[in-house]
Amino acid sequence: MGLSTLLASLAGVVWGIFGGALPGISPSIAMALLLPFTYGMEPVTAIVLLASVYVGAEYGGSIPAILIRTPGTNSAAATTIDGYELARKGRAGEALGISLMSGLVGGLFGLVVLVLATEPLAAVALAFTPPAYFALGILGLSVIASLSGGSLLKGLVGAFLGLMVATVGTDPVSGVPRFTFGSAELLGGIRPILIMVGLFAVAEMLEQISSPGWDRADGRDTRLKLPGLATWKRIWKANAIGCGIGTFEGVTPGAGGTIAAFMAYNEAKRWSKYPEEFGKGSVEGVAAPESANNVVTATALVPLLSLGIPGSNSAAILLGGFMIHGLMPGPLLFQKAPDVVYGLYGGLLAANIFMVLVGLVILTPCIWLVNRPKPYLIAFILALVCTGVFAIEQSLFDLGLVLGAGVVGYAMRRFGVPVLPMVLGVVLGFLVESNYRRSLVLSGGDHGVFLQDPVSLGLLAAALLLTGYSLIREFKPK
Amino acid sequence: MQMKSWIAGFAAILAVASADAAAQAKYPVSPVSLVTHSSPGGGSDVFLRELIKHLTPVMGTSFGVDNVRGGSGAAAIAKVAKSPPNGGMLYATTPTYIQTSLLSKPEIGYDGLDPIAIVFLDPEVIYTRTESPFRSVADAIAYAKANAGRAKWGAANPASLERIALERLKKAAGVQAAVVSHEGGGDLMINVLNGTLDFGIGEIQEIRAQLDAGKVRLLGVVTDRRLPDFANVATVREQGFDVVVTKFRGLAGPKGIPDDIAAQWERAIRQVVASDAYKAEYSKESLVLSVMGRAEARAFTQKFAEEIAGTLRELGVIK
Amino acid sequence: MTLSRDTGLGVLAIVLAGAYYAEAGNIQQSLLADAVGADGVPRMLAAGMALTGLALAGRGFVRPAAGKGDDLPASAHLRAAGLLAILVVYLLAVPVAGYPLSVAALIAAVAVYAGARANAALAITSVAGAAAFWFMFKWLLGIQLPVGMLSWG
Repeated sequence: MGLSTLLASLAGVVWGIFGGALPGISPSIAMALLLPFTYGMEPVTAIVLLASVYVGAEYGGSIPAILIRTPGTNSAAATTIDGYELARKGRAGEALGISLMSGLVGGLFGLVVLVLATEPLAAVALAFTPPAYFALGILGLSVIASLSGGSLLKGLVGAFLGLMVATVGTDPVSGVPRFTFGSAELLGGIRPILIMVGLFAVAEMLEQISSPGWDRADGRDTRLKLPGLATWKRIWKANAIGCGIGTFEGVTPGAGGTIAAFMAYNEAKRWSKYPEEFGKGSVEGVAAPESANNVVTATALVPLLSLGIPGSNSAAILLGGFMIHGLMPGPLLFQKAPDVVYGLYGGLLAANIFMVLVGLVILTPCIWLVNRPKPYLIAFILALVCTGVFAIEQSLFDLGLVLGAGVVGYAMRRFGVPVLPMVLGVVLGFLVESNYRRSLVLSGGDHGVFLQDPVSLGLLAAALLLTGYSLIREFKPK
Repeated sequence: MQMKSWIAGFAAILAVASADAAAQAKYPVSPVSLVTHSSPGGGSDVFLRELIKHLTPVMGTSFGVDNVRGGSGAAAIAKVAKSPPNGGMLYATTPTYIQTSLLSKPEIGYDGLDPIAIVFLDPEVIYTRTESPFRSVADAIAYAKANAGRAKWGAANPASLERIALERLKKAAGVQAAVVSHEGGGDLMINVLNGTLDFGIGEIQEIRAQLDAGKVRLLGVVTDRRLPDFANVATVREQGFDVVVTKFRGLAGPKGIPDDIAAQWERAIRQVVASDAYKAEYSKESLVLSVMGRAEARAFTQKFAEEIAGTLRELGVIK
Repeated sequence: MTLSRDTGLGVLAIVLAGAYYAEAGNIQQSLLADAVGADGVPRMLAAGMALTGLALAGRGFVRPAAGKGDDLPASAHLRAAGLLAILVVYLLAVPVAGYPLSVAALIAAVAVYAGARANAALAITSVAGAAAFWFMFKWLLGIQLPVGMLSWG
C-alpha cells in the first residue's frame, strides 16, 4: 500500500470524524462532499478515502452523543442513553475512551469478517426476502419492551408516535403522498436524524433552561481516559454482543447500524451482571452500541462488493466512487480489480488505527469545550444544531421540524413518556410498513407468508421470545 | 447544497482534459451552473459531470455541478426557475421532474422551466435471474396466464415510470400479476436474485454488474427499437405487447432564455456527442443518443407530460 | 390538578389518534395501491394509539397516584417557552439578516437568557463563535449559507 493511500486514509478519517460529529452531517453527506475531489485520484486512493470517511463518520457521531446528548449520526442514538448519563456524572472522559476503543474493536472485527467471510455473508443478504425484512423490523421494535423504562403503555405511546412520523411522505407501494399537507418538502419523508436531534438535543436544552438548578457532578473528567484492565473486564461481553449483532445487521441491505446499535444495547443489558446500571450511566451501555455500529462500517460493504448492491446511502456514494473510476462492484470485482479490493482492506485497517490516533488527539480538547460555563455551552450547542440541520438541505423547514420535535420531546418528559421507543418507531416504521405490504402483495394477501419464510419465522420467534422475557423481567412484582 | 468552491477545481481538471478544443462563438456566461436534484454520484450527477468534461472545450466556458436536493426535485426546479434567463443556470431534466410536479403540485412545477435540449434516452430492460426458466417476456406472460395469482413482478420505485410500464404490460397482455415496488434498484435486484420475483424492470446501468457476471438474463427491452449492444434481445413490442418506456436526459432553463443561446447549446451538444471520447463513455452505459434542439425538446416534454399525467390520472394516483 | 398525569396523556393520545385517523381518510386512493392500501397501516397505528390512550386514561382513573411524574412550576415551562421563542426568532431572521449575523445574535441571546452576563467577553465570544461556525461550514464543508439582504460576501 502506497503512501498516498495511507494519507488518503488519514485525511478521510479526520474528515469523517469532523463531519460525523456535526449533527445533521450524516456519513453519506460527509462522503458526498468529498466525492468530486476523488475523480482525479487513483482508484484505490479514491475508494480508500471514501471508505475511511465512512469509518470516521460512524465513530464521530458518538462524540456529541456522549458529550451533549446529540447523536451526530443515526446510529449513535443508542450511545446517547448511557454515554450522556456518564458525562452528566462527570465521567465524560471515560465514556469517550470506551466508545473509542469499542469502535476499534468493532471496526477490526468487522474487517476480519469482511476479509474472511464475504461469500457466505452475501448469501445471508440474498436470503432476506420482504417477509424476512418485515420480521427483522419487528425484532428491532421488540426492543421497545425493555426500553420503556417501566411503563409499557407510555412506551407504546412513544412508539406509535414514532411510527406515525415514519408514515409521512410518499407511500412505499402506490406512490401517493401521505400526511404531507401539500408540502413538497415532506414528500421524501422526515429524516430520522431531525427527530433525534430535536428529541435529544433541543429537548435537553429546554429542560436545562427550565430548571436552573440542573447541573453536572462536581468532580468531572478533564481529559480522555482509556479503559483499563478492570473496565475491559466489564465491557468485553458487551463488545462481543455488539460485534455479533453488527455483523448480521450490516450485511442485510437497508437495515444498518441504527438497529444494530439498539439491539446490541438491549442484549448487552439482558446479559449484563449489572442490568440496573443501564440508563443510569453504564459503561457496557456505551461499549455495546459503539462496537456494533463500527462493525457495520465493514460488513455493510459485503453486499456492495460482492453483489454490487448498496445497502445504505453511504454505500451508494461509495458505489458512485467505484463507478466514476470505471469499476463495477459486483460478482466480478474480485477478479477484475483485486488490487482495489485488497487496497480497500488495507485502507480500512489503517482507517481504524488512525481513528484511535485522531481520537487521542482531539477528545481531550472536546471535553474541555463542554466544560465551559453552562450558559455559553447551551448557546453553542443550539447554534451548532441550528447550523448543522439547516446547512444540509438549505431548509429552514427542516430546522422547524427539529424545533417541533424538541417541543414534543420536552412534553414527553413532562408526561414521563420515554423517547427511545419513539426513535425506534421513526427509524423502523418505513422498513416494517413497506415490507409488510410488499409481502402481502407477493402472497396475494395471505398473512401466512410471514410464517412460511424460514428466516421470517425465525426472526419473529426471536422477537416473541425476547419481548416475553423482557416483559416478565420488567414487570414482575418486585 | 451549492459548492461554488468546487467549480474552480473542476475547471482546472477539465482544462487538462480538453484536447479537441474546437471553440465556437464564446458563450456569454462563465461559470455556468448546472443544477441537479440527484446527490453526488447519482444518475443525473454523473450524467452532468461526464457531459461537462466534453462541453467545456467546445463551449469555451467553465461549468459547475450544483446538487440541490430536497423536495424530490422541487427545490432544484424552483432555484433554476428563479435564476436570470441568461444561460448561466440550467437544470438536468429526467422524467422525475415532471412526475414530482404532477404528484406534489409544488409552487413551481416542470412548466415553470423551458426545455433547452434532450440528449439521451435511458433504455429500460426487463430481466430475471439466470436460474429462471423464462427466456423472454412472452414466457413470463405465459406463466402468468397459466398460473393466475402466482405471477410476481418488480419495479424499483412506487409510482415510477417503470411501475407504470408494468401496469400497462399487465393490461396489454391481459394477465393478473402482483407488481411490487421497492426502495431503489438494489432492493429490487435482491428479490430478483433470490427468486422472489419472476422478473424486474430497470436501467441497464443498474443491472450491469450482475449482467456482466452472468447472474441475470435479459428478457426484453422496453424501447421502440432493439439496443445495439443487445441486438439479440427482442423488444417487448416485438414480443406482442405494446409497451414502451421513454426515459430521457436533457437540460432546461428558466423561461426567457434567448434563442441564440439555446441554439449554441444544440450545436455544442451535437458536436460533443459525435466525438469518439464521449461516445465511448455513453455507449458503455447503453444510453441511446437522441439529441433534440429547443423546439423539439419543448414539444417532446409537453407530450411526455400530457401522457404521463393521463396515465397517472387513469391509475388514480392523481386527481 | 384534577386529572392525573396518566389520564391527561391518555386523552391526548386519543385526540392525536383521532386527528391522525381523520387525516388518513384524506389519502388519495390509487389503482396502484395494494389490498392494505396507503391508508391501511396509518389506520392500524391510529387504532393502536387510541387503545393505548384508553388504557392509560383508564389506569389514571383507577390508580391516580401511579403516574406521578416530576411537577415543575408554571414558571419553569415559561422559561422553556422563552428559549423556544428565541429559536423561532432566529429561524425567521436567517433569510432576512443572513446566517453570520443571526447566529452571532443567537449565541448572545441564548447565553444571556441562560444566565451569562451581557459584557464585552460575551460579545467577543458570540462573534468569534459565529466566525468559527462560518469557517467550519462554509469553508471546510463548502456549504453555501445565506448572507441575507445585508450581503457583504
